[in-house]
Amino acid sequence: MATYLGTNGSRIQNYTADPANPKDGEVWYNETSDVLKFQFQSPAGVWSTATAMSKGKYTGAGAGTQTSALYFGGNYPPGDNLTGETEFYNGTSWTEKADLNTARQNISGGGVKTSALGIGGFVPPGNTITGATESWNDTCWSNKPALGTPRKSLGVAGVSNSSILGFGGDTFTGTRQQALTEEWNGSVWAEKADLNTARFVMGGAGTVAAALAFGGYDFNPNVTAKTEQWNETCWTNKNDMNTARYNLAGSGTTTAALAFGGNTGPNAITEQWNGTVWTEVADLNAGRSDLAGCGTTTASLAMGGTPPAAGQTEEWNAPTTVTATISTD
Amino acid sequence: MAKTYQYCVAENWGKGFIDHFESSKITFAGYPGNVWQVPAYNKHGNLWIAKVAGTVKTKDEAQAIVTAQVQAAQATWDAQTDEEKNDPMNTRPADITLEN
Repeated sequence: MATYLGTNGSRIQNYTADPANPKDGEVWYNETSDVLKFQFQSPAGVWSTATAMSKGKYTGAGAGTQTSALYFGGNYPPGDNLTGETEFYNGTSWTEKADLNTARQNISGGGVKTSALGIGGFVPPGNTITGATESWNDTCWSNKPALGTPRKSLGVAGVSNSSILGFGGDTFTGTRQQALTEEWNGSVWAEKADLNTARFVMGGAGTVAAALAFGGYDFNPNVTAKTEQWNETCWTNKNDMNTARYNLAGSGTTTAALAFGGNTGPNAITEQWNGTVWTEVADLNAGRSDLAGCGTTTASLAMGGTPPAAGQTEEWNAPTTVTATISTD
Repeated sequence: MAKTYQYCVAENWGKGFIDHFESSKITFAGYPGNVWQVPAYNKHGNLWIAKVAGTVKTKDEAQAIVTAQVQAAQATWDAQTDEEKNDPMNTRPADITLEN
């Protein structure tokens, strides 16, 4: 039979306070509290706060990973000021990078820190919808051919400035909610098969070959919980989210995704997709909508949002290190 | 009636304000006006408030701060044009009622 001494190389130690950096699986006796404790990795993820952006931004777009993320465009208070600013998060702090050529709100985006794409948006005053496409090369934004149908608030999946899928969106006139899907190959947009449910301000995750669309606003009658999966040819309906919402953020892939924040009801809700169903997991610490997201189900980033518009940033990590008390009760 | 939550005002300084350990132990809820809700009669909640040098508020005091922020947002919304207000997605900021 394996023993603690045999597997850990030492007996259980006594301490007056918990050790500063215990190892996973380590057991110790806290003499002050008179309890036996141990540390382990919990599979459950949680959000923690991170450094806020330079301004209280919202309605911008995000790209990248938890420790190397971009946030660009959007609004900031007071009075919904428009910005074309780009900020970079390195896992610790935000630094400002080169601005978008076209400042806009409700911009959509995807990719990574060194290779991202910003598409569509809304340019007030005048209620101007833009299909402007800008490509980020880690230094600056360059203008590219516009979306086939100009619109704002698309869902996005993709990994670089040469591989992005834009779906849904809002034309802000007539029948606003769109089902259009367009694929960007680095040079041109090509129209693909429509979403089954036309909508905008939804969450998106995945790649141009395997994407996920969830939630959003569909005017039918308004907010939706619907989930659809893209297989490079068509969209297939999947199980709904537990809480319908719009202006939410997403991260991950078609087999492991996160949906967090958004409008309607409690706006701190986080749900995790396992490829089949959504399960509610730990809430954002500060509920908000109009936020951006990036990353994976093990390491995601929630950027900006409102209210309050404070540029709040939160980091999701799973698993997490937990110190527990061994009880005989 | 025993309260379920306690409230404090603390400015979110970013990384480390709420860390993963704290988030795994208790549920936080942030509200406008830097108002934070944590469980009452809870060691981890009390330790967190001490860590962030939070100013403890009664529920009524916290409610007043949040309400003032919401009313300011509602006034901003009310000042918009009818066209802006008629956008079904541009909903008027809702009142927030803190729980006991």
